[in-house]
Amino acid sequence: MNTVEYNKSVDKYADGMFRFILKNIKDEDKARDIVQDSFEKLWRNIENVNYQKVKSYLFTTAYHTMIDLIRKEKRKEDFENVDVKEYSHSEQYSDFKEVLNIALEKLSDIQRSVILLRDYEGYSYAEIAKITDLSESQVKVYIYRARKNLKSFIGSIETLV
Amino acid sequence: MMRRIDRHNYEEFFLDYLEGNMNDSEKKNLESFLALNPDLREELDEMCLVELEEEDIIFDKSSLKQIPFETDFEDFCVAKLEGDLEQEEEIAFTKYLNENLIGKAQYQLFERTKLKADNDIIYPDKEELKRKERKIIPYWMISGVGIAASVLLLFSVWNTSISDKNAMQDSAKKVAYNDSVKKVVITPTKDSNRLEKLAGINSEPKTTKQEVVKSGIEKVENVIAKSQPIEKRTDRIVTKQAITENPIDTKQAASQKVSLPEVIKTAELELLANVEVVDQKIEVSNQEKEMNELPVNTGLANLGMSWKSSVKAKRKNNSLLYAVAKMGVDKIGEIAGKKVQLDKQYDSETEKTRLNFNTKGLGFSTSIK
Repeated sequence: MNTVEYNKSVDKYADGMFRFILKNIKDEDKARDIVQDSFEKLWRNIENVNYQKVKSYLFTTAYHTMIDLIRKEKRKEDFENVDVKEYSHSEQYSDFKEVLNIALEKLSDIQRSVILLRDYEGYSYAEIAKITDLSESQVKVYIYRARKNLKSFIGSIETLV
Repeated sequence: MMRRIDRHNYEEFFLDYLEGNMNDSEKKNLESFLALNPDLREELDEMCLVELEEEDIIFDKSSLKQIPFETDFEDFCVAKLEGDLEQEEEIAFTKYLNENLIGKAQYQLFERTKLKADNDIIYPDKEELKRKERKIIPYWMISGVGIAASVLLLFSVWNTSISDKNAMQDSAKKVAYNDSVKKVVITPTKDSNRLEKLAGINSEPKTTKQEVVKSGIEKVENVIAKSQPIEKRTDRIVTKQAITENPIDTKQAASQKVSLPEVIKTAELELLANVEVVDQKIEVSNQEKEMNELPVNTGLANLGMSWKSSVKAKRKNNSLLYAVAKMGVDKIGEIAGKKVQLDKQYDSETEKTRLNFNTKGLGFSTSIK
């Protein structure tokens, strides 16, 4: 991979990475740092990274940096262990996007990550497995659970509305 | 060949008959056999009664197909959303949803869980992440720059050494010219005989000299007056001219006032309690000569003093450095396969020697003297 390809990668993937990380950690500065670190790592390994696989490389690096950060900060909340009705408050949501964002925040870190990779970036189970260091079947299970949890949250809100 | 029917194998023929596996001639054959054995006709009639008629039973098979959809409805919904269903399953589940309004509404909720990337979120400093392209520098440029750098380095070292030597020489001149030059007048004393004896002691001058330096001019005057060795020593360091002008004889000195060689007092003299250094600074000469000439031509050479030879050494060094530089440049040029020149040129107008360096893409000239 050369400098031109590296710069192309910045144009093509920096936004997606930033979006993916920001949706996960909700901290703009840290999301920027993670994206920057990932590109710095790419630059250091520019000779060894194939341009065809650079997206996967970048997302893998960013994902693991993020996971390390999350572990450090111990900001874990597992949606699976929380009763959805707890969130079924009487507040009116201005739009569905907001509802979905809240639902997304309620997911566990791993569920959120896999579903974001799936929906935002259109990755296959195999690609997500590679990025997240999980097996394909584990990825599938997390995605299914995430969808059910999201649907459950949306359903509970819509019933109230 | 037609099989023959008898009372031992008739059952086989009966079965074929009942199942309709007999042709007409076989049927005729069976009829004639039954006519001969009426008891067996009864048996055949009984066998015909067992035959069951097909019933028309209505059963809703589709309900069976719906069982998985109902039990694992949510999984089917996600699987359909994710495109994980086989083609047949996809068709069947779609049909099921179309027939089941509640199920369809649920599935529509699943469809809404599909996240859409928020394109308003963009990385703010993409330009900062970008890198400048690494330019490939041609070999000739690297070699040219390399040569230039090495020659520059060589010159800078050279010039530094030259300027250092100049500075040293200048300071020496300054000492010679600026410091007050005192005339030491020696008054002949009665102790001259005793001092003559002391002259034989070689180790004595050291301490005597040091005292001279440390205690100032007056002391110098006194000590010299008393001390023979200093006169002896001055004999050794006077110039030929000085000797002719000021022949110092201890015996004569006793009877007349003798103007001794000038003692150059320097700051160094005070600091360096070293006879050799002191000797270097003490000169016997007339004032004018001293002022006009560098101490090069004094009797110091006889003492092996360094400064007389320093100029020569410097020149020698310069020419040696030039030779090294020239050789180095030639060699580099040879290795690089480029024409690289280093010339020494004397400019009569400025009275300076200049060094000229020329190579492809770079050339400079520096004044070295």
